[in-house]
Amino acid sequence: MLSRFSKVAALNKRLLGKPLNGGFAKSFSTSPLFKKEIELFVDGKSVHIEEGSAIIQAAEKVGVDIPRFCYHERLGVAGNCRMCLVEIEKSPKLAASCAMPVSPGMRVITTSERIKSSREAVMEFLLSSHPLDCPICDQAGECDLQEQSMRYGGDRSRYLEPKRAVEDKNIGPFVKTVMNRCIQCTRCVRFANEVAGAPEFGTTGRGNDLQIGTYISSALRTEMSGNIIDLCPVGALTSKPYAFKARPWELKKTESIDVMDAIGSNIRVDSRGNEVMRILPITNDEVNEEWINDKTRFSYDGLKNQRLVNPLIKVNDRFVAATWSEALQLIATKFQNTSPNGISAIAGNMADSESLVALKDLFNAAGCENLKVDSTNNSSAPAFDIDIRSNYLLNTTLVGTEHADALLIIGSDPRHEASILNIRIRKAYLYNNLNVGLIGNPSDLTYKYSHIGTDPSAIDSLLNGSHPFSKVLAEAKRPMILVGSAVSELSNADQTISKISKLALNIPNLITEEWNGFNVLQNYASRTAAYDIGFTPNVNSNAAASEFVYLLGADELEGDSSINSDTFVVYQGHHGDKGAHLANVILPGAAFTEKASTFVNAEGRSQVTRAAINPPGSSREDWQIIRALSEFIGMTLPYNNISELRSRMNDVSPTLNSYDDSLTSVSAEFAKLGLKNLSSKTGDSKSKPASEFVYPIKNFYMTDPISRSSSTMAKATADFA
Amino acid sequence: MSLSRYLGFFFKNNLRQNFQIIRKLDDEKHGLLVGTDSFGNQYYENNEERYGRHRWVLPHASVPKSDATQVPPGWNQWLHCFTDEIPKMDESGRVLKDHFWATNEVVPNKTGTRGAYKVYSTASPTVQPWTPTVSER
Amino acid sequence: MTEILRGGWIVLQAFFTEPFTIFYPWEKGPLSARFRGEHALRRYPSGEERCISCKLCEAICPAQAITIESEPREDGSRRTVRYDIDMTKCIFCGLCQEACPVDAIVEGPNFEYSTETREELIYNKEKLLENGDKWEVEISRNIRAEQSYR
Repeated sequence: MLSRFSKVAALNKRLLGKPLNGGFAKSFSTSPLFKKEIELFVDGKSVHIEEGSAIIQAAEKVGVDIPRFCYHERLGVAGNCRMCLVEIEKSPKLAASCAMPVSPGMRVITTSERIKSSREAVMEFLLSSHPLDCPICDQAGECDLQEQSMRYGGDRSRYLEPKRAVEDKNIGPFVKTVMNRCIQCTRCVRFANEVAGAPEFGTTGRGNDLQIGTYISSALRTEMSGNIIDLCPVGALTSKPYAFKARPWELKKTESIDVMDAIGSNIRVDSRGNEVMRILPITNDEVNEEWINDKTRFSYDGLKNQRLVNPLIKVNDRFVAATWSEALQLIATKFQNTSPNGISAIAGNMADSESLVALKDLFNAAGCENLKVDSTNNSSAPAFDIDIRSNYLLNTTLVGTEHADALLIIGSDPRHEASILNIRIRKAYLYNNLNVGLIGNPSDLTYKYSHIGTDPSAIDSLLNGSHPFSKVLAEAKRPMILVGSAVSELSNADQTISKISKLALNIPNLITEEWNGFNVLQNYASRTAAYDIGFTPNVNSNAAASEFVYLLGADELEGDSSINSDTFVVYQGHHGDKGAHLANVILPGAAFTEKASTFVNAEGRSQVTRAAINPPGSSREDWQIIRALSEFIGMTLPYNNISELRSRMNDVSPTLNSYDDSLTSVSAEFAKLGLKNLSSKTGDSKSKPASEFVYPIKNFYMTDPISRSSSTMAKATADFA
Repeated sequence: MSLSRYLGFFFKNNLRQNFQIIRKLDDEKHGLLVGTDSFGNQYYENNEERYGRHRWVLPHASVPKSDATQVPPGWNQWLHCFTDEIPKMDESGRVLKDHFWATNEVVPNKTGTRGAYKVYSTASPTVQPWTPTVSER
Repeated sequence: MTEILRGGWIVLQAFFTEPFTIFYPWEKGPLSARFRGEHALRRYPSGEERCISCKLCEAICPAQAITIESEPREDGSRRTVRYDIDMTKCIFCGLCQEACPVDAIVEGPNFEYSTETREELIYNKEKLLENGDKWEVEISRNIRAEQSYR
């Protein structure tokens, strides 16, 4: 194990200029290497590339295709598949282009007869211990080995000897292993150790006996484990829930956005007929690179269970199926007969921006301001003053996090609240010498941190400089504070946030013209948009409104007291979860894979989902339901199609539909003003101080109606939680 | 038709045979009885006949509406001149099974009757709707 | 003038020669081992269905007549839960049979399966396996005859 790590570390040192060691030791070098551009020739084509790059990168830059199995641009270099061998002029031996750094004037040849036969030979060796079970292999059709053996391999087999047989390993509920198919590229091992921070995954044995696995039989305990399925160039690691379900060629691919957390990972929804077959990441360097977490990837089977398929009306403690017009008429009558003061709406954690805008417009038209989000303390305006946008956003952005050199996490568990962000933090920790401090319950974050305290009073020790981490923050060039959104749900949220913002204002480099290190990590896909829209109580709101409650996919309802036995509850959503159980009328809506809708992620980036399949039964897109209801009520909303609604959204907040990947950041001055506003908050002095920070996620695998209905997630819960 | 062939066959068979043959086959045939299956269908061969006409089946008289699907697999192949071997049968005239799971029950085409095949889905539905339940507030 | 007489002579000749007509269905013309008739799904001698749900037949089918859905069976093996062939779409090209790596889907020797409604021509997995069980005697003999040419 040690020798392998040192080997990886040596390779990385050569290529990245930084040692990488298993995951927990850190390097001391901080100054970036000076890298000048050099010229070399690949197949006669001139290419300019940074010194220290590998030949394979130069070839990629100039469009020359070099086959590879073990090389992956986001992982360390292993150089063990030998598929990327190239000829270098005046060099007697072939060189592995993934591990060979470029040098000035180098002439690389990839098309010679010698390379052709070398590739054929490598293919032959790889296939000699690879079973011929493509017909039952899930990777068939998207298998690197299959494709490259067609393109570069020989046309017949000479191998008659017995093949290697390796025992399959059980590494948890997500990844199915067929170890006979493994070609030992170690991409999965490198991912687990470098990116995911799960050092229990590795190799044992040498040569033909080399095996991949957890050293002692156990599940792969990382919330990013699904990514090794994508990385595996063969069918050794495949998806367990997707096993044998579909072939890649029969799937319709729809690019969409994930709503399981507030990161808004870019995903591809693969569907066949009216069924989501799997979810894969798509590369977006600004957001999720090419990783997604296991909940995003595997909870799709929840979309098929517990669905609301037709409108239901409660009659004497029983739900009866109704037509849309019956249900809407009943709601409209109730709505009209209730005074605006007694009506309220609660927006769920997965509500899309379109329906939020439509619902707010409808309620405001009726003269009602009782709009809440589905969280504790939702009866008053959120403790993060939402007038200034930088007060509730991840201002540093996900990419920016990689450049941070000091990070203070307050009341958040980024590993489970936003796994993608945690990956970025770990990256900064490994390659940028990030110093991490944590105030909150200590948990395994996959990197080392100094634990400052568990309760809000620990912030004082940083404010008065008594804790050594305050010096780290003060001296940092790019410091970062990450505040969990759950801080606003504390009993003394106002005081705590005021303290945090005072601390933030005290850190000299926290907010400069090109750096904003104050971050609030939102937890839920709909929350940022709800704040952008202003879907929160204001001075005119009546917090106690409880005659008519409209639940827009609100299924947590923790700490919400507005529903009592006399309340008329309308639930609009896609799953029969907590909200539906409480409802008087149920309106079946569409899940995120069934509608084209806008979500704003924690950074404030607006992105759209696209409909991969149709909503089941007679359910409809959410904004259309609200639009139809407005007609029944007699206050018809002034938009008839999605583009008219989007232009209305643009009027409400232009940030809601700037889909061009750009982030509008708040100026430093304005961000500081926002923090000053926060720091002057006094709150209710009588509220008792919170004893500790409570993380909002109790069970990572079950946080929303979709993942709660998913049997895969239930298995994961049984295994991990 | 050839009159001499027709009359020749006619006089080789007895009257009862002729009645069955003409009723079922609309032609006059005479040949060697090769076998009889469990339905009572009789298989004949006469190599003097033209190729293609040299093997035929005489459906059993008691079946009111005879059709080709009453010929069991095995005999069908013999009729199609694929093989000269007649299928091995048990004493009741059923073609012997090669495997225990195979079937030698001959089910004639049931289209137009109540027993006709109707397609049904063998897969489970893609969406499981929620079973509506009310919870206490 | 003589043409009419010559034509009449030919008719007269034909009247006394044996007819070429095969009296189908009681007499049948010769059929090749390669004949592509009604589809069937086969089994291994052990009784285990051959189809492993690789979906190559579905992929190759030029008429898109085949629909397959699969799942792991309880014992973990890869099996179909739906194998439907729309016989009204099928063009009997035999590509499914050629694509099959395990000789599961075959076009058998039977062509006598006419129906009164189109619905009866949408075959599901049960029906295809039933066909296989029924025609195995002939299918296996056909495959054996063709073995050296594949």
